[in-house]
Amino acid sequence: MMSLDGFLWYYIVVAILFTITCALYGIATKPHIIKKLVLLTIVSDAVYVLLVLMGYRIGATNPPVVPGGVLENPVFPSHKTIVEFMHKVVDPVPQVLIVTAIVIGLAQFVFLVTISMHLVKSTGSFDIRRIEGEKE
Amino acid sequence: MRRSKSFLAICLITAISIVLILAFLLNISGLTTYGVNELTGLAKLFVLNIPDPTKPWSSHAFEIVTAILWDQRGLDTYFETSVLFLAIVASVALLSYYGRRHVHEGTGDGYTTMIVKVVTKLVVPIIAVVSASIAIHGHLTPGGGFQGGSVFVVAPVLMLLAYGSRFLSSRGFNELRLLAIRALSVTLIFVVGLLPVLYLLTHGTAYLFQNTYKPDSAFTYPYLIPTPIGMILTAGSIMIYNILEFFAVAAGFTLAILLLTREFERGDKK
Repeated sequence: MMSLDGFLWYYIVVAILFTITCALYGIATKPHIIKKLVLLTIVSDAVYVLLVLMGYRIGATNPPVVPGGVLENPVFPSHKTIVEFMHKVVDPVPQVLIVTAIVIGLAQFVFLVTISMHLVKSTGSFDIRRIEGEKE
Repeated sequence: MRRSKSFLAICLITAISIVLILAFLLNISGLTTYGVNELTGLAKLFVLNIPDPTKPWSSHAFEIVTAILWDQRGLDTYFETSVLFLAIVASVALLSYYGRRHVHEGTGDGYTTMIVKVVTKLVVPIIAVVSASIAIHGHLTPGGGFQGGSVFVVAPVLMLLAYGSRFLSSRGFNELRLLAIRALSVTLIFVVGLLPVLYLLTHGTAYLFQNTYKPDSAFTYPYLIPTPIGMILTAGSIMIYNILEFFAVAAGFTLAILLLTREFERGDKK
C-alpha cells in the first residue's frame, strides 16, 4: 500500500510531465504567435517545478536556511546543530540552479516578446503561417 | 486552412516521446523516484560547511542557497548575470532602433481609474521596502539579489499601468539612467570578484570570486563588521553581491518593460 506522501509525489510528477507534453504539442501545432509564447512559459515553469521537486527528501521540514540568522550580533550554529539540521533539510542544489534560470528565462522572454512585437507590427498578423508567407 | 491530421499526429507523438524519454532518463538516475531520504554528497558538503565558521570552507552565511550562488559558484553566476544583461541589451537595441524612426513620448495618461491610481500610490513604497529587505537580508533569510530585484520590478509595472510611461520618465526612470545603473552594477560585481586577483599579484594565494579565507589563502572580505549597534554580519562579499545584483535586475527589467510599454502606447496612437 502506497503512503499518501508517495501517492502525492507520483501524482505531481505525472501531472508535470503531462503539462510538458501538452505544452510541447501546443508549441508545434498552434499558429498564433502569442499562444506559442504563453506555451513556452508553461514548459519552462513546469521544468522548474519538476527540478525543485527533485530536491525533496522524506521527512524534510526545513528550507535550506539555517534558523537563527540575524543581522546584528549573530550566533553561528554549532557543528551538532548543523548535523541535526542536515537530516531535516531539502536539497539546496536544484534550488540554486533554478534561481538564476528563472531570471534569465524572464530576460529571454522579454527579448522574444520584442521580436514578436516587431514581427506582428510589420506583417499585421498574429498567424505564423501568414508571417512566413505560407498562406495568403 | 486547417492543419492536416497527419501533421497533428506527428506533433503529438513527438511531444509524448520527448517527455517519456525525459522521464525515463530521470528515473534511471533515481531523481523522480520516491523514497530518497539522504542528501546527495555535494548537498551534504554544502550544508555542513557553509554555516559553520570553524570549517575551512565556510561562507559565514545562514542562507545556503545564496551562499552557493555567490561563493561556491560565483563565477558561474557572474556569467549568468551577463547573459541576462545581453538579453536586455538586445531587446533595448531592437526597441530603440525602431524608436528613433518615429520620435515619440508616451501618451502619459495611463488607462485606469482613480481607484487604481490611489492604490498604486499606497502600494509602491511598500513593494520598494520589501524588495530592498529581501535583497539586504539575502544571506540570512530566504531571498537575495535576484529575488529582491524581481519583486521590485512589480512597482514600475504598476506605475506604468496606472500613470503611463511619461510619468515614470519624469520621475527619473529614463532609459539612459537605467542602462547606466545596469551596466555599473554588473561591472562592480566583476570588480568585487576581481579584487582577490590583485591580492594574488601582490601578497599570496587567492582565488577569483573568493569570499572569505581558505586553508591556503589568507585573503578575506570582512564578514563581521563592528558598528555602534553591534557586530553586523555581511557574510564576506555575499551581501555586496546581493545589493549590486538587486540594482542590476531591477534596473534591467524596469528598462525593458518601460520601452515595451512605450512601444505599445505608440501602437495605440496609429
